[in-house]
Amino acid sequence: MNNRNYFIITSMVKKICGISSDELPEIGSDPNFVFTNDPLFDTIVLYSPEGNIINVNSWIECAHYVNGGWSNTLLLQNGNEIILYGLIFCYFSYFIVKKFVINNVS
Amino acid sequence: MSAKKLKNTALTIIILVLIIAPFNTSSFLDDFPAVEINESSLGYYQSNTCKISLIEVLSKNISNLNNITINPNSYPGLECQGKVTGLDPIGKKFVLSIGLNTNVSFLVQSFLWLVLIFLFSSKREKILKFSFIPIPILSTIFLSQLYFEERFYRPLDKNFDLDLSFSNLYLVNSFLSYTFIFLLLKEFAERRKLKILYFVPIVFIFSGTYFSQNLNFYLLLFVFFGFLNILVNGGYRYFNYGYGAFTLLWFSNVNNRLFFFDTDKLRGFVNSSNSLGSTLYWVIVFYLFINGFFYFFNESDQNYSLDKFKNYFLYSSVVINILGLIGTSTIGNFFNFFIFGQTKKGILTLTPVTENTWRGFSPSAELIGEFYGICLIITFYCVMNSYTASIKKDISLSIFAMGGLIASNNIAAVISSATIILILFMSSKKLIINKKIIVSLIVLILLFSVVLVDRDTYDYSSTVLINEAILHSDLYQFEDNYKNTVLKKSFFDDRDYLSLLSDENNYLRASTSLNTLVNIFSPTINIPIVPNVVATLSIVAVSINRVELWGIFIAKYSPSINDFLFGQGPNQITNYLYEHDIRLDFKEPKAGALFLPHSSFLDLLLFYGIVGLLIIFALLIKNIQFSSAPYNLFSYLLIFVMINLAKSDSIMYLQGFVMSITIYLIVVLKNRIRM
Repeated sequence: MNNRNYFIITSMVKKICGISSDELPEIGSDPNFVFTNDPLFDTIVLYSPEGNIINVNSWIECAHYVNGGWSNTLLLQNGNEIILYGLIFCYFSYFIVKKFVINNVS
Repeated sequence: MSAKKLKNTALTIIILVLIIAPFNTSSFLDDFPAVEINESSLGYYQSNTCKISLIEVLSKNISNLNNITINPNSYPGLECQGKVTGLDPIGKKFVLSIGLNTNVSFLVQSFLWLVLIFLFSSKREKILKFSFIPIPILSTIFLSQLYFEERFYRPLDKNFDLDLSFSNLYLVNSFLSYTFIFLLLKEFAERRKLKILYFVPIVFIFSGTYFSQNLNFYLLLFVFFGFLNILVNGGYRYFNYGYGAFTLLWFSNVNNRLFFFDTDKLRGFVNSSNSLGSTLYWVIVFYLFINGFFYFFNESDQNYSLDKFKNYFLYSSVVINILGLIGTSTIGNFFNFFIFGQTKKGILTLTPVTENTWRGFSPSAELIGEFYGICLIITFYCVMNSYTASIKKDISLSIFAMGGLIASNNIAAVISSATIILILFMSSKKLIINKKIIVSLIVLILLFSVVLVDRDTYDYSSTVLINEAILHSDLYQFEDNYKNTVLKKSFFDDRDYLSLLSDENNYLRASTSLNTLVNIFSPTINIPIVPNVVATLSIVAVSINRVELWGIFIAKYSPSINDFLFGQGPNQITNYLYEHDIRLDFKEPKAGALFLPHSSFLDLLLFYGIVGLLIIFALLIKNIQFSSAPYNLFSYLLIFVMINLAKSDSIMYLQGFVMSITIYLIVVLKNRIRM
């Protein structure tokens, strides 16, 4: 990882998971690794780029997932919902403008 | 602030927002700042895709723009809208890929072009009321294109999904987008009046092709008005009957072998498939499209000013020149493509006529040459007949059109426009020109040609077209095409084409048109003095530099009897391009290029067959009448268009089609308009 990417990921971990004195252990893709819950850590909901959801209960778990590309904001891969809302907004604006502006001017 | 100023300010803001907002989709203060594009930042941009917006990147690379080419792509989803989706070094340059969502682009471009037609229209004195019926029907028709031209659309959008259900938001959004644009068009039609004549040159600036779609804004516009024409005026009876009869024949001609055409520079106005469904789609759309023109000519109170008409052409020629120059810059090139709806991106060099001509503003050199030629004819007509407010302004602005015409390298347009201007000049000076003088001149030219053309030249010119067609046909089957060529040429000296075709059953691999032309060229009875049709065609092809392209056409064009008589339907060239196997006598990359017929009459032959072509010819010739000024201008323009269509594919491009049909309808329906 180049310096810039390392900096960006570190800053994202700080932003999403908070600051911690813990060091992130080498977990990699070890299937036997078990994250220990931290009772002092407020549960954070993370979303994967594919829209999957996970609750993380420790800073290490959070940092691990953020490093893997998860985020605390839902990034919709399929933006069709947003486009639909945009279209509904367009229709709504049209009827408002037609009723209160165009008809009055006419 | 006055109401007019307020309106102009609001429109300017709307246009700027529509242009900038889709590409300013990331925060300048987020965790992924834009950096200067160079070798060391390649990895950064490649690993942080869909995070940095185009505007952000451009702001960091103002001094570095010469090294960047912007390449829009529609495949990623909305999350990549207006953002970098990749960066690749190609040679010394970097290709910056920018994601553009198809649906968002459709809406943004539609809004931009709706503002355009708003600007170029006038307010109706009385508001009309139209039915809502066309909106869902037309939206469904245009939505059906996704099904019928699936192979074109599927690779262009990762969200492409044809599952018919309300949970399929891709389809729902597409349908709602169409209905919304048609709703706005209905609103426009009720309150505004579009002056079709003034609009023709504007179509050359705003090509109107939607990004990543085989769709054009003017198709939506004219199809909508076409539907209104049927609802309000009932359409033209003879046109309806004729079109209905042809439709049945086109369906009977549909090929069972499916082909796909990527549309290339014809995007937005060509059928990308040859399936029954896509033929049905284009038959309906084209029928309504033509009716759209009828609607505008059926509208009452059609007042036009010739001076204004000329000004629109002159200003458009200036704008195309200037925007073309701006298009040599990285930013200008990309935004020209998106804002004006070009079929393909223009080139970044100063050369005006290479690949997509005039840096994207015209799909072909011939078309832009015809545009400038028409512009000059109109200008000189107005100047000579005092239909102008300022001669000085006209002459100074026409320099742009002259420069454009010369740069287009369209010799036919130069000669035909110069000849028509000369005739206009002579008639304005009351020099006697009558039919006898014109016929005498033609006879003299022919006699002069006979004296000049010696036997050798005639022998060469009369056979060169068939030779060319044979060279591009897949006749002999040696892997090394050089051997095939040598064998073919061994028959050329004796003009023994019948033996060539019978040798190794070559006639089975030759197109039906080549077989027919060879039979006509090699008659059993030779009548002296009477010229052979094929030899004459060949001489015409030599004289207008169309030997190679028409030779390829003959090699490719292999219709059945039905196809030849009635064609394959509107804007259908897929069968022509792919059905018959040929082996072009070129080396790569030329052999892989798109070769269109290069004659609009041949294009019409493909679409409507020989019967349709003869009907169109009859209608054209019947209606060329030299009425009094200023209407006679349009008769001259129609002659200019017909001459140029003989050697260009302009009718295949939407701009060329709009220009040709508008001029024709003015000549035919001149009683309905006032100049």
